[in-house]
Amino acid sequence: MEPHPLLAKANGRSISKHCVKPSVIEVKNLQKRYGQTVAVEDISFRVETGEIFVLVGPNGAGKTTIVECMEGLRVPDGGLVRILGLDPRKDRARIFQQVGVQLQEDQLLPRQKLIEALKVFASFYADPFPYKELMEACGLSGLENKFFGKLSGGQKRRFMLVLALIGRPKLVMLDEPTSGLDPQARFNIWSMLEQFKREGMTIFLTTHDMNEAEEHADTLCMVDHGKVIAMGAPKELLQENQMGVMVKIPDQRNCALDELENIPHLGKLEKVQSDYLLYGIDSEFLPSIHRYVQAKGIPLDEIETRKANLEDLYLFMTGRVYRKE
Amino acid sequence: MKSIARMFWAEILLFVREPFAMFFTLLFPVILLLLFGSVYGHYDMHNGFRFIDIYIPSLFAMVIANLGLISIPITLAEYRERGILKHYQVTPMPRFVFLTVQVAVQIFMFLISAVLILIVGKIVFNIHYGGNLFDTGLFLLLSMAMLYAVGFAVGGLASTIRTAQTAGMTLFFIMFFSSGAAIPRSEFPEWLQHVTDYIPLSHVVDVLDDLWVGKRLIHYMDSTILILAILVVALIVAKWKFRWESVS
Repeated sequence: MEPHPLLAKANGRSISKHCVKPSVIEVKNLQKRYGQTVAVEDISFRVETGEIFVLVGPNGAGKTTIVECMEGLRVPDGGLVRILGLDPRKDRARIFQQVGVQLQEDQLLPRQKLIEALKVFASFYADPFPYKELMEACGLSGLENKFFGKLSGGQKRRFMLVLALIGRPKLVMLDEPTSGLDPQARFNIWSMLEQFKREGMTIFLTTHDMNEAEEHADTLCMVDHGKVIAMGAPKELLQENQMGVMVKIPDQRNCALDELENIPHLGKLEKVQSDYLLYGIDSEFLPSIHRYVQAKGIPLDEIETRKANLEDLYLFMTGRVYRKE
Repeated sequence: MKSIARMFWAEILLFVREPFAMFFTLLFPVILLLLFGSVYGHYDMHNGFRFIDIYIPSLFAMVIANLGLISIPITLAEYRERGILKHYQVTPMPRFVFLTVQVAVQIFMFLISAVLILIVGKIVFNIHYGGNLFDTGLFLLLSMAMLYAVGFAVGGLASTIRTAQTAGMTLFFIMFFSSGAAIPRSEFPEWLQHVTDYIPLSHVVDVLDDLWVGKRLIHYMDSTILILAILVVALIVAKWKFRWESVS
């Protein structure tokens, strides 16, 4: 079978059968339908040891289905999933002894104290972390005797992360671990994850936050409509799509679309509401924009220039309309 | 083993923090005991055994039915609806640990309740027991197995906490009032006695009452077989219908 072109590109790694080192996660031609609806059409990717792999995509793009197939919670209609070389449908006990999972929902009984849940979950693993350190790293120390139901949304989210990490996992799979967290919590959670990464942990996660994906992902995998639409290091993805800087020109200045398209060194062009968004990466891009703006007599204070980011790429590739979930 | 012990104690604490379950397991049987004991307690029923003596096994049956038919389905539905069962699926915990612990918790809570009933009964009414401990114990275990299995079946069939609660309560109260666990069936009109012969809990109550005063289990093979049959059917339904996660 031919490797997926995007896969072959990712970090220049080869994914042929001759690959020596087994990947931590291998997903190959994954397919999943619910009745008539195709949730996952054809997804393939690999996650290598010690990297932070971030899966992004709009709601309803199939992310949770992919993750749940990886966790063995759903049976794929086709394709192959291997976690640490094992089949998640068959080797549940062996996989989850080494893999920590945070699901999307915060699930514990409200009348359970944190310490009680910690003790139960720690007892599942051969060599659990001392919970105190984890609770501290997640900003929850001193809350051991609180009831889960009394925690704030952010605290619940962080506590589920503690439970995902308590088994001293080699790999964690986190479904939106930072959703609903305040900036301080996000900062500290990411510091902790980066620390675990330095210690050799492999981190797979999903997020809707493109800023944190851009900052922390070694490999970013963008999915939409059940397919991989882009994959690679965030910087490289931006470069490939010629998204270095973004220039925003208001439409009122009767700039014709074909005129804009013909600006030399233009990478990408998009019309969003009453603005044109122009992207380019070439060093001659900004000077040529400057010449165009001057020729049109557009005052400089009406145009906006900034560094292009992953969110621009994401919206460019997945569109801006609301998604049905 | 460590998982079972840790989870068992965590589950006991969760049970104790559930006022509804605590009321029906500990308080309600004691209230019934004191109430019925004060009103009918001294009635002579059988060979010197008073009403209150043979009301004790009826209370046991009530507690077992309540744990099996209400507590188990609600617990299972709650764990499923909150996604806790799904969460357990992504840990190395073997599935039997969770199921074993649930059964152990319900057995333990029955024992606590039974001890409390016996202590209050002894102190207030000086209750008598004239049966064979082995027979009574064996039949109690069998009844527990049957009612808990029915609870697992209901917990498997019910899709939400609310349906589990409604189905469990309906089953429990119908059985409670018609089996003689609340009002002795001998007080029922004859036709109603015949109808309530078909209530499984009637067999539990009748046989337990008779075992209590010294009859032997060997004479109740028909009831025993019926209970075993229900146990098998309930286990099949539970196995067939039990899901670890909500359908989405």
